[in-house]
Amino acid sequence: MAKISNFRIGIFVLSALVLLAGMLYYLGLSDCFSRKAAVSTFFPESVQGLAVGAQVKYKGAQVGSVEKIVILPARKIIQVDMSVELDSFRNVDGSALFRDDEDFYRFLQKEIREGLRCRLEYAGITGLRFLDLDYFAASGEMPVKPEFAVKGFLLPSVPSALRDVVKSLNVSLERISRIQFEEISNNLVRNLDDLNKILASEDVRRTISHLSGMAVSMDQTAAVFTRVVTEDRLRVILDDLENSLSELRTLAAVVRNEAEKSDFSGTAASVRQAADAFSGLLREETPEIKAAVDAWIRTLDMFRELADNLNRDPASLIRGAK
Amino acid sequence: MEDLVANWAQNTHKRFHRMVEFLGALCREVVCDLRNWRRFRWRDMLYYLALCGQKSVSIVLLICFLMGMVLALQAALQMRKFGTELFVADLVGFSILKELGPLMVAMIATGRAGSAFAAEIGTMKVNEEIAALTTMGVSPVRFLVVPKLFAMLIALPLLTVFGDAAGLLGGLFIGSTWLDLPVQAYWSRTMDVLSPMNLVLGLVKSCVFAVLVTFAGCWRGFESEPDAQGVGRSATDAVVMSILLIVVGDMLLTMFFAMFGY
Repeated sequence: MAKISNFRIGIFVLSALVLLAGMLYYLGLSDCFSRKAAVSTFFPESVQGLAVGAQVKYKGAQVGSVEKIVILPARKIIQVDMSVELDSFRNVDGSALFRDDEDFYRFLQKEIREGLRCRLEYAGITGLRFLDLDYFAASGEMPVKPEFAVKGFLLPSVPSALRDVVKSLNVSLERISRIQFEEISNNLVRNLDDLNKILASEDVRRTISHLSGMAVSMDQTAAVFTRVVTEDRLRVILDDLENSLSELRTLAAVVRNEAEKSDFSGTAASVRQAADAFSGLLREETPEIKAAVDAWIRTLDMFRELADNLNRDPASLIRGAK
Repeated sequence: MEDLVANWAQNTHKRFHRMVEFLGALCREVVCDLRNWRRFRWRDMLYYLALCGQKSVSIVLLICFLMGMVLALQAALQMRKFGTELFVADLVGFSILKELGPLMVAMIATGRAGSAFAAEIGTMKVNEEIAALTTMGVSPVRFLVVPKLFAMLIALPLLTVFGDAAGLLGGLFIGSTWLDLPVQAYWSRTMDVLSPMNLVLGLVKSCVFAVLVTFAGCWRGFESEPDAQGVGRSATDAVVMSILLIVVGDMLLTMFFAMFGY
């Protein structure tokens, strides 16, 4: 048998044991020496993806892990027990923030009043979930509280973001389900039937044929107009119009000049005097005027009678009255 | 044809009978040595502990370190597509501690110790030393197998601890160089996802593998034909049988642990 070195064997065994102890310590035995506080919460929703050992985070920083998940069928809720490492919370100077569990629970009570809640969150795309302790009071959801006494500290929970989405979806679907699609459909079918009947009536057909005739006439008129009013002719008309406007403008200028030169005030006074004199004559009703007017009326009657006779018998103009 | 099948069945039956007989003798001698620990051959055990354990440390460290690197590289190539490089730490950690660490160490032990046990006992059989021990009233199993078994039961778990640490460091090396992950982040992630139970289960596996490797090596040695070629064949058969037993045992243990959620 070959000679062996006991020292080397001892080093081998010793180093392996030290390595084993170190690995065990770093892989989790160190947790045995850390101070932890037990906290429980309840979820009325599914906790799929949450497992024992899942992370517990406070505003995104890991502070503990899930210890136990218990189903309470009588209450239709899931109880989740977690342990929170007290040494994760520190003062600004690095010293421990909490002396014991009670100190931590008082801190939690204060934080709960300020809106601290527990919520299920997804850890990436793996489907695994963790518990997030954060301030969710703005969501408007009332915290879930069991009606029975709970052993240990109870941290209220709020529904997960996914549950909010599902809830919104359910509300939308419920609103959609309230719409009377059948009644709307029946009304639509009825209205379409009425419309078809109206369109099939004789009046509508006649109106449509008239409209068609009008359209043809309008087409013909447009064609005639296009043929008659050529571009050259239109230009001539526009030139004439322009010349006429120019002459009108000149005439207006001349009239304005003449009007400025004329003594409108004197003319107006003369006209007024003549009108007054004529009015005076009419008011006096002199016998000569009255006789002239009567004679004039008789003459007009005779002319009307003559015209009527000629209308009835134009030949009397040649052969004379019967 | 019928004769061939009958011979094969008869030989298989005889071999199985001898194997069970050997297993029974081994159990009896282990219990005897545990009861009378003063009779235990400590010097032989230390020799085999040095042979199978201390002298295998360097090769175990090298192979497991490289295995961790390969695993991290392969995982990184796939996970980089999804931006989940940090999960390489999870994959390497779980794979090394629960499977590859104990398995690779057992394979190395098979190559080093299993074949050596078979060759040693086979040579003793050729030289009729085993027959002499039996004639002197000394149990060959207690004299030759039990010290090897205890040495392997100590050496393999310790080697597995070295192998696990080297594998994790291999993954860390690739994570920090190839993936540009901060060393602290990779290390924290590894420590977060792994638990002491993962390490302990790996060590339990390595203990089972130690029994299987020792059993296969020693039994094939006792079964070797009394000539030089027979010793060579028994060493080869010991390695093949050990690997087969290790893989089957690993599967059964994994299923067993999975039943309890591990």
